[in-house]
Amino acid sequence: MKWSDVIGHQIQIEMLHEAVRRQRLPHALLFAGPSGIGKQIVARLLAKALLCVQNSETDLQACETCGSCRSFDAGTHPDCLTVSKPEGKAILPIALIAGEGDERGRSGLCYDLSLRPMLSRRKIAIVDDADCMNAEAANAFLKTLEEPTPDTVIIMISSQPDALLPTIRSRCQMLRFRPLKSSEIAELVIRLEWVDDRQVAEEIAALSDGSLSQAAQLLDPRWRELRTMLWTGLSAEKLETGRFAAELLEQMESKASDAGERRNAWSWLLRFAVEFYRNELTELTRELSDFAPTDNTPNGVSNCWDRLERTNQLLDRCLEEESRRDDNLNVSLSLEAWLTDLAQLRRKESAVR
Amino acid sequence: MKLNCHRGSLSSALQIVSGAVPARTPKEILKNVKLQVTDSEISLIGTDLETSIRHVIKDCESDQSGEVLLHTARLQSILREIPDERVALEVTPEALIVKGGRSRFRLAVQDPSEFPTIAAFSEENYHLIDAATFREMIRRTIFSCDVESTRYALGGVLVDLGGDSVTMAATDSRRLSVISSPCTVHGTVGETNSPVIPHRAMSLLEKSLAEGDEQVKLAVRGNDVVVQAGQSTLYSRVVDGRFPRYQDVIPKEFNATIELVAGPFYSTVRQAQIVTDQESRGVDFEFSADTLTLVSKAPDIGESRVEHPISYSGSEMKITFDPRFLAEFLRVLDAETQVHFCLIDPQSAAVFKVGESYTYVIMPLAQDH
Repeated sequence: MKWSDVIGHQIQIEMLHEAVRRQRLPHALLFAGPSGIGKQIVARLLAKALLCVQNSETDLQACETCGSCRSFDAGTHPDCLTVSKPEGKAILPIALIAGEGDERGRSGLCYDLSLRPMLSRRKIAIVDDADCMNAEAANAFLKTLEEPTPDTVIIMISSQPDALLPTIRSRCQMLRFRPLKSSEIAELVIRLEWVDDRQVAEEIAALSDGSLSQAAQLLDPRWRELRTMLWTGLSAEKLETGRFAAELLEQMESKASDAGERRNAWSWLLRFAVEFYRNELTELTRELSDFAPTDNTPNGVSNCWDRLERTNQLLDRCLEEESRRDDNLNVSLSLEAWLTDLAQLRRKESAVR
Repeated sequence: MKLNCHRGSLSSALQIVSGAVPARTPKEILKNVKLQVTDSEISLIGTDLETSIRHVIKDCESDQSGEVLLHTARLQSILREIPDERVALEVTPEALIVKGGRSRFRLAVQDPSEFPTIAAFSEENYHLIDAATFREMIRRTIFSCDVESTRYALGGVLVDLGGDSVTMAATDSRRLSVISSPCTVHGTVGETNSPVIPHRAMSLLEKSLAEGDEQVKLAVRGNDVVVQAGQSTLYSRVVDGRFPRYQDVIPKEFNATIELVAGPFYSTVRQAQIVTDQESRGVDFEFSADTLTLVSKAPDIGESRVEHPISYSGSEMKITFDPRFLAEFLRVLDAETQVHFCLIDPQSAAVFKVGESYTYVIMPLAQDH
């Protein structure tokens, strides 16, 4: 993979190149931005180029042929140290940072960084999921992060930089990465041969929030089925709360085996709902602006305003539910309560009408 | 590529090299050892990216040069279980075939070019040290390392290479071991070089120096040190950190010097150590005319008094030491070794001297009881 293969993030990449050109690269970088947008790819490209033994100090192009580049590609580079949250775990434990028990001070990232580099001019540490470090791990890392041995570059990657300890944050130079454009996601989805059909790719991209990992989830057609089901339900004349909730729940459960997955399904559902009402709002605004002033239909206008108001309320209710997503509420109860509220809001409106 | 090896020598080579093979690693490929066949020699290479061992296998022939990765644990089991004297290895791009008299194993192989390269010892300029001395020096310093500290330089042994002598020093900031020994220089070595070699590499070195080895070649390069002894070459990355100026903490003048024999004194210290616990680690060393009394008290255990005859004629003095620090020092000495115990006062560092070359500095504990 080369710099030219990276989609998006051109400003950030140029900043890194410029920093290296001027030999002003900080010893600790924090790559912040939503997950699934390529922060790690940029970090790895940066690491590879910094480790390459053929290129000049001020050049950020890896030669791809030297021993360093080859062993980097094989994942065995002795001077590229990576730690990340272990699979299936919620935290990045201190064992990976400073060793644990008998191994304290004898293993882990900090120890590895205390040695001279083996193959290259410098050592690179990539700390993925940096925000998952618990307080212990983060505190154990502070000393190394603040003052690593010479020729060390530490790249921290985080999708939630605000969750990092302030002491960690203040020791790094933050580089913010933006979500990818929807066209870029569509391009990637096709380039990765996830889908062949450009229309499907664009549909997925539009829903992905600029994140490739979200797009990857959407590849599963069941998500899109869930969306169609929800949209059909919401646009129906009458919202039959109980039956509809059961149907949705069944569809969600066909996808989700454990609680975490169910929660994930629930958040997708809410996102689809928000999208639905947002579309409706756009539609209504357009309708409203299409009323010519000469058109003497005050009722029509006020009717339109009412619908706008109602859609706003419905959308608010969805957003409110979305903001509670991380509160660990019971999914099926939340779903029913939410649908009941939506139904009530709609009834109130019909009564007015 | 086809090889024919003596099972025993392949097995012992594997045993030595596996000292550097990590038991747990995120980089799966490091669980292998690389068998490298060149025109001149056949060697095995193992590494955990911190220390690497390269060992030349004797009694092994190959029809051509090449390399292959061998899964350490699996090959070890095969060599342990098959009864034949010789084993044949056949390397194809897809698989490794190991053949004994009546057994045949076909093992999957990984790409050897993905394994880190460890070059053979090719240094022109190096220090030559007597192997037995070198091992003794490691034994006498390594126990003072502070492997738990985040001051990583203290987790290794400083190897100070001069023109005609080599000095090793290790400290955990409460005690310090320093030992030096003569050496010769082959070729030209630049100005004095003082790498800090990690604890793990040092203990591996101590273990892997075989009895028969006569001389050890030691070369310091930019980021690592290379030590060659006999068939084995050990590489270790050096610690990137500042080792304290140890010369400054060794007192030069003393108020009293006591002659001791290591063995009996060690036994006395061990006795005194029995009645100590985590809270009352200290043992009082009471010096009076011709007697040293070791007094220890632990609230929950009891107390002990152990006397040790000494030739001492100065004023009475009481110094508190952590007996573990003394025991660790005395343990590495032969029982009949003569030790000079040099004292200043209860607040200053005490020094043990063995001959001219070995010095052990120990800080006394505060006397709060």
